[in-house]
Amino acid sequence: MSPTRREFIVGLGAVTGVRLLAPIVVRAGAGLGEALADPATANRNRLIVIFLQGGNDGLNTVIPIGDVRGAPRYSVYRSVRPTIAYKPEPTLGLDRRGDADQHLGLNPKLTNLHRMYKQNRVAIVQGVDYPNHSYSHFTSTDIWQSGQPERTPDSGWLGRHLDRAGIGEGELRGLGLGYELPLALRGGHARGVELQDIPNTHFADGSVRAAEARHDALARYGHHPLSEPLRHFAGKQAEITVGLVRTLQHMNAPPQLENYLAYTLLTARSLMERDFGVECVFINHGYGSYDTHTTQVPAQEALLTELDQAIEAFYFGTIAGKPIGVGPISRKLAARTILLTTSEFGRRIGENGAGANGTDHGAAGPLFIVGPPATSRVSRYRLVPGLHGEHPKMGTTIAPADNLDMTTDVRSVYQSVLQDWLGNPDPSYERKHAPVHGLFV
Amino acid sequence: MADGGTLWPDGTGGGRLGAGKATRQDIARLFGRAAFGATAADLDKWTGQPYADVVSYLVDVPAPDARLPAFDDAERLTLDRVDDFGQANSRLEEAQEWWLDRMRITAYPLEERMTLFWHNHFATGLNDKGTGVGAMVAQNQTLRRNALGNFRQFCAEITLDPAMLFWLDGAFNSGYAPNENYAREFFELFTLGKYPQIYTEHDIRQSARALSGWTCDPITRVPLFDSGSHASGNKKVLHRTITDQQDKEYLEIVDVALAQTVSPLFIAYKLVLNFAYVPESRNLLKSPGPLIGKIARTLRRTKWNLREGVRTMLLADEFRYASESRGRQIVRQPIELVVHASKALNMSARDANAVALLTRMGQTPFMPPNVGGWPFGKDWLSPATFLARYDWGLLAYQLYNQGVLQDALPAPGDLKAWRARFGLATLSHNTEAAIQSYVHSRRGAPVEELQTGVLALIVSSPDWMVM
Repeated sequence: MSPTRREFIVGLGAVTGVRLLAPIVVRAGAGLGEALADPATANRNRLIVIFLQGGNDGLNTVIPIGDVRGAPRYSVYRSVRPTIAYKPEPTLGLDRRGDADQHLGLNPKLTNLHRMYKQNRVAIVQGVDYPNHSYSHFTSTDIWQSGQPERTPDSGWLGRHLDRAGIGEGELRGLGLGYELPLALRGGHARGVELQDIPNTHFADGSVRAAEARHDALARYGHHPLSEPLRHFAGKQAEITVGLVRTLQHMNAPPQLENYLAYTLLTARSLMERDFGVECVFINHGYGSYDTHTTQVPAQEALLTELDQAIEAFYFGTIAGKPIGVGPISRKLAARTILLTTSEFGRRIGENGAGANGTDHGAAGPLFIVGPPATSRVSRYRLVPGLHGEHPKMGTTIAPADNLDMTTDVRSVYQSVLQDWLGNPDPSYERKHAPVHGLFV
Repeated sequence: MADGGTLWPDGTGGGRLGAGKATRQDIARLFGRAAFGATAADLDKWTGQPYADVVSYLVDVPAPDARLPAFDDAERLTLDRVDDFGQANSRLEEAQEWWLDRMRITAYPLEERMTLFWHNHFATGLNDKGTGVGAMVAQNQTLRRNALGNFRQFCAEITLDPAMLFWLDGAFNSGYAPNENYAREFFELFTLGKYPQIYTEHDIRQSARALSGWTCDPITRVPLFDSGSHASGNKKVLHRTITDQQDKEYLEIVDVALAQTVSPLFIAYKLVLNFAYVPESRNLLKSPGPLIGKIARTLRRTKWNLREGVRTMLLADEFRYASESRGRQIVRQPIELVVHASKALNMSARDANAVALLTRMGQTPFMPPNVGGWPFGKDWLSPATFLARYDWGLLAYQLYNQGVLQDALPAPGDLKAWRARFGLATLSHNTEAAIQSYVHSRRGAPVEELQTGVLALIVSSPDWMVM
């Protein structure tokens, strides 16, 4: 084990014999609760995944605003979406050189993403899906999070990365922010750690001596015998929790914001800036509200506004241009971080009928990758901004397609991120799912 | 077979349904999993009684419509009134507290536990499409009335339940362009599952047509059928042709789903998942495992009598001895833990902070995360939720001290008394050693401080969370 992964004594561990694995490291005695940095973190690339829960409508996110030769996308789009199609004029044109002839525009609510696109910081991968698409939220979520469409999912694509990285129990390399650890961060044996936020990573009885004695006892639950596997697991979680509380107790939290995603992203930012070892972060957004079977336009616009402003807050410390008291992201972290949006599926090409003004579950959709400032040259590989992959076919106005079919396999996107960004390719993808050509160079 | 050939602790090969006298461990586990936990009185009363009698006490309860109203039914009726969509929040809290306390005081704890099970199965949540607090409280009574009733009748009622009609867009499903939301979840989550998936996208689209035409007014909450927006013509669903019968077609959809072989297996799977352990089987048709197989056979034989299905599960050796024979246990849901602690302390769970802590534990009544319901198993056990469980112990002690003290809590070091008080038959060696070391390290501290600590440590212990 490297020095940063040595076993440290927690709290009054000298008495209770409780140990935790670093880098959730806590010094005994006077420095109780003081966290140590994991020096390796600073030189690691980082990843934040935002999962848009419910199935985001891709066609109203990256919107056809004109027909292209051989593909009357705009005509089809307008004809099968009589009440929910956008006109070209309010959309935010994807008009970088090389993209403009695709005649696509971003949803009018994605103003910050569009600005970052203009600054050469946003890649858009089109038509991402997996073979034999499932229209079930639950099956499809499991497949997106596992990257295992051809078997019963048993581990997350980032969980397997943690397995290969060989992390210890309770190590903060994979971080989920919410209540429930997502499948994406569950490996064969390694697991990410799930936190709600910084202020709530705190026991209500604080850190007075009387409370510390209780927390020491809690940490001892980590010794529950393996003969009762679930109770052993519960005990380990107790032990890990005590370590986290002691590590984070002196950290400042970001301000509470009405935009909860912004708050969560800023929480991730604070934790990443402290070099606790955090490398991959997974955040759910929308709690299923992207499932716009009815009254789609206002519902999706509200969600995309929240998403767009949360990304703005993460990078620039502003929301709609107004400062929120946190300042911009550090240059060092910005140079090392990419942010990836995913969702369990896109939606149907056509809307679902009079009065409903919504769409049913569909197949492929676009995803966004936001990267470092274009001038940044810290990382070995660089994210190539602009459109990637083919736009899926939409048929003709006479015979419109029902669904958008896959043009990029999600496993290729994952392999790009794993191999070129995190430096840890998934061997099970190696032959069949090469990285997306030209996404990172 | 996943778990055949076991020699059970009673020395038999199993199979004698519910034989013998109930041990303290039997009572602790049975009540812990199926009745919001045992009290000390439950342990004393039922230990030594025939096990089958204990199961019968839990299962054989009069139907809600056939008994005198409980005193808290009046409050339920005031909550089940026209929704005022502007100011739902205080009513939501009142409804949540009402239900939590009913779980604690009910004379029919298994029925209430099943009501929670169905809330998770037919998971419906407040939304701005028309499901307000009143609609949720009304649905809650529908879940209770059917909790141990006939599943076919249940499915028919839930399909036209107003809260559900808004939640899964049944009220917005026009035959011109059918909305598939309800049809898909009806098969995947409510009746057939996907172990294996036997229905196709075609079946879903055709079912959506059969279910089209229903609307509902969020104020009156009366489902109405508009034949003008119903998709006319035949529909072919799961190899059966459903002829045009207008507002009766939804009954055909229920019927064709429940006629599938996998359907009783899937409901049995859900019961085992929620009351016993996480089943290993990924193919219920090929290898359901003996417990799921037994429950499904009962459901089929009794034409979907849920009471008998639950009885079969609770009597089965695979349920009763799961942890001894296989190390199989279940992670209890946060609501169960909170209600059980309130029972042990004999105090009301009616406290806004308690509901807020439940939200931090990940389980807010009337607000499941999505139609798939709440997580299960290990997914309940993260640092995020663990902190809230410990904090609940601290809060519970405060609430207990604010109440009218009926009986003092045990001395801090008397773990045998604490164990009995919290309805546990045993405390594992490691848990006991951890708590004793705490009490020892703080000897001389005020008794309230130590009792707070022991209480918080018990409700955070592996023994309490996992049964």
